[in-house]
Amino acid sequence: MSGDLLIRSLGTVTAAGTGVPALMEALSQPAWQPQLGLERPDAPPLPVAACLGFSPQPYLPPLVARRLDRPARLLAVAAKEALRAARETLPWPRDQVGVTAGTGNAGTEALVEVLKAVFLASPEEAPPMHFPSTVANAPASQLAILEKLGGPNLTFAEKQAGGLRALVEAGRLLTHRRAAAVLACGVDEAQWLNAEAYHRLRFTRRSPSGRGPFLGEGAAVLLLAPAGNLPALARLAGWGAAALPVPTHLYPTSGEALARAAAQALQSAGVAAADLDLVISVHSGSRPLAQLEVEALGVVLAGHRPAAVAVTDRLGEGAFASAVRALVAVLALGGAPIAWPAPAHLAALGFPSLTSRPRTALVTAVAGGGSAVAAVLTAP
Amino acid sequence: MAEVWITGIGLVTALGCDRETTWSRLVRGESGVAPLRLFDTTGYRTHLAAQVDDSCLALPGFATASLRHASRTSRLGIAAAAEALADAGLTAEPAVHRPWAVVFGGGSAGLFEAESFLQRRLSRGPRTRALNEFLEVPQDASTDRVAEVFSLTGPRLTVTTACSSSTVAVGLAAEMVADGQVEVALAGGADGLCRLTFAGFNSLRAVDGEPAKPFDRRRKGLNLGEGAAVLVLEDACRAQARGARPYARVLGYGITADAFHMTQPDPSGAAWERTIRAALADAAVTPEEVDYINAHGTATEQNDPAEVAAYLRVFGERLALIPVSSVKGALGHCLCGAGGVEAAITALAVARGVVPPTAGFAEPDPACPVDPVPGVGRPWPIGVALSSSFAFGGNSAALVLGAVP
Repeated sequence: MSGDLLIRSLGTVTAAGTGVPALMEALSQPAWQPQLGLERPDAPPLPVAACLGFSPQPYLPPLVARRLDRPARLLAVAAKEALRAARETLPWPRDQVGVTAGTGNAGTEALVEVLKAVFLASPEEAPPMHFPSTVANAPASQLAILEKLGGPNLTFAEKQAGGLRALVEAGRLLTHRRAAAVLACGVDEAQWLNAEAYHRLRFTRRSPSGRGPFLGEGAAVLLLAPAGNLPALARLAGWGAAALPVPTHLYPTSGEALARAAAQALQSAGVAAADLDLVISVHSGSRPLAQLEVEALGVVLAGHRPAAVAVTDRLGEGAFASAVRALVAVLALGGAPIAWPAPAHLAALGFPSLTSRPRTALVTAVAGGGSAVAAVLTAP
Repeated sequence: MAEVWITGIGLVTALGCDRETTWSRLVRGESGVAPLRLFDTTGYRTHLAAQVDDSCLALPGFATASLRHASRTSRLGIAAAAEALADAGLTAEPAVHRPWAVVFGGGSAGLFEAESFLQRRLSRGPRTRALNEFLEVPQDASTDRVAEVFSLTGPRLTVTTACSSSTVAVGLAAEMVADGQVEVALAGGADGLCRLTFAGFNSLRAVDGEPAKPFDRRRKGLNLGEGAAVLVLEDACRAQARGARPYARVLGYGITADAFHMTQPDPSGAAWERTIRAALADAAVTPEEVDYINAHGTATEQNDPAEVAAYLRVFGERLALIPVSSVKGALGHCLCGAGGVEAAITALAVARGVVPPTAGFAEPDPACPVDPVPGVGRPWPIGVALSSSFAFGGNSAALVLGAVP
């Protein structure tokens, strides 16, 4: 694997606020929790960690923002932050800058608007302005249009693993020299139908004060480029992926796929399990997910106990969440203080909270349907 | 980098439930476009679509439990995958896990079924009962379902770049095999008809009330279609060792973003020229070596001339000597499944030395100066073929396939 897949800059919008500094501020507060709540028609709100108060201004001109739906706005603002950090004049030709994105629900609100017109009025009433936003690639495509990025533009659907998939596929594009730089992204919107579906499947907690996972909203962007004069924040050192055959709405019943993915990632990174300093946990509040993580890490790490950090149980679950986990790993590798403790299921096994700057980090994701993705990030 | 062979093909289209029926009817110049039966089309500009016959979705031989709540789209994908694996001579027994990849283009997935729930939910409120109807809404649901049914445990990717999704999927899967990440990958995609896409293209006035006519001066738009294609991609050494018969080699692919407009192509063809050149460069072939182009050819007013403009930029005067056909006149526009279907058709064309015709074409358009192979298929030796896909959002992709010497 190429040794110079360097992460050069970051951008994000989460329930903690707009921008990396807002997220870092939340990460530094041990007790930080999001405000949960998403309105839906004719029914009580659902516990979702939405980006309350998010506004595309002053990041996007009003006329530009108006033609974007919410996921595209979230992604555009996060990408602006990453590109701004990479300076106004990009050191790569824009037709060599690609975008990879993972999303779980981009397009759902537009879809509802189109079908609402069809079902409650007539097909002729379907709003043509909403239809292009029903495709899941709309946020990544709008970003390319907005920033004039002509490199490969790929969107991946892999439920909760989508954001991390986008990161490793960015690595693949760069390894094969299909782009000079890639914005690897995850994005999801807080959308009532999507949240209601998870609620009906009993995947998410029943009330804001209850226990268990909740969905989140946000975007995370990691700019990868092997070359260029920008300082490197971290290196994408290796990755792996595997799956177990289970129904699309269920987590796998064992940690086997996650263990295989993590072992591949460590091997391709040339990092021994004993040299791993940090695990960014997949923990979202889901008990089955915690159990399979315990099983997988037991196989991969044996008796080694690196520090562990969970963020998805506070920022919310979704495809964007696995990209946020990668972003938090980069922040940790850069020495950002992270006061959120190791999740209980790992702490009980002896995984400590993060207290010192790590040099290596394992980021993983497991999707309903059985897919698992893992990446190893190292200090540059 | 390993050489990648296509050793199995499964196809389910409006022309047939399997590869050979689809191919034989396609080269005879038949069309699968007919009045849509899947749902009521009252109020739409068109009543036509290339719908797959329900008999193709029965899936005899599969355990009922494994198909529980499987969406129409997933059933299309399972049928195509089963045919592809059998064609490749690869058994995939449910009890045996295989570390093969599944890389599909994903689009509507279980949306057709979920629309029924949403219709009731919007009118009856939150007490509306449903669970099974939205299990397969996620766009990777059909990828998951195929992997589950055939017990595949390798990497699983679902590309969702609208109409280029499954073209990209074939390219990525080939790269995974070439890199040695997996020995075998199932690549392609499935997409089923649903009200959202029917209403959406209707609202954009991009549909033709009559059968579509790619590259024809009378063209008014596309007909939507549905279908699935699965290609078994295999490390050539592995395939050779077990005596597999290849259809074609995957020589390379190209992906770019137009960065122009969400629904309109760059009329100059410059954006798509980059895609095609990227694919040819990746395949290490020159424009002079290309013998056949399987076009995106949607039959919309904007697409076809922009596409031909791109070909003219790349191939120049030689374009007049290259057959350029679109199967969308016969199979409809299968959206996220289209690229896989067209990759499969292109592989068959390479293997059999026959280029498929453009159903619906009759009157040339000066804005589209190509040889669209009118009427029926044409015997034509093919060493190298290009299959192009251009999508909503400007997500463009092209595949280069080559004959196996």
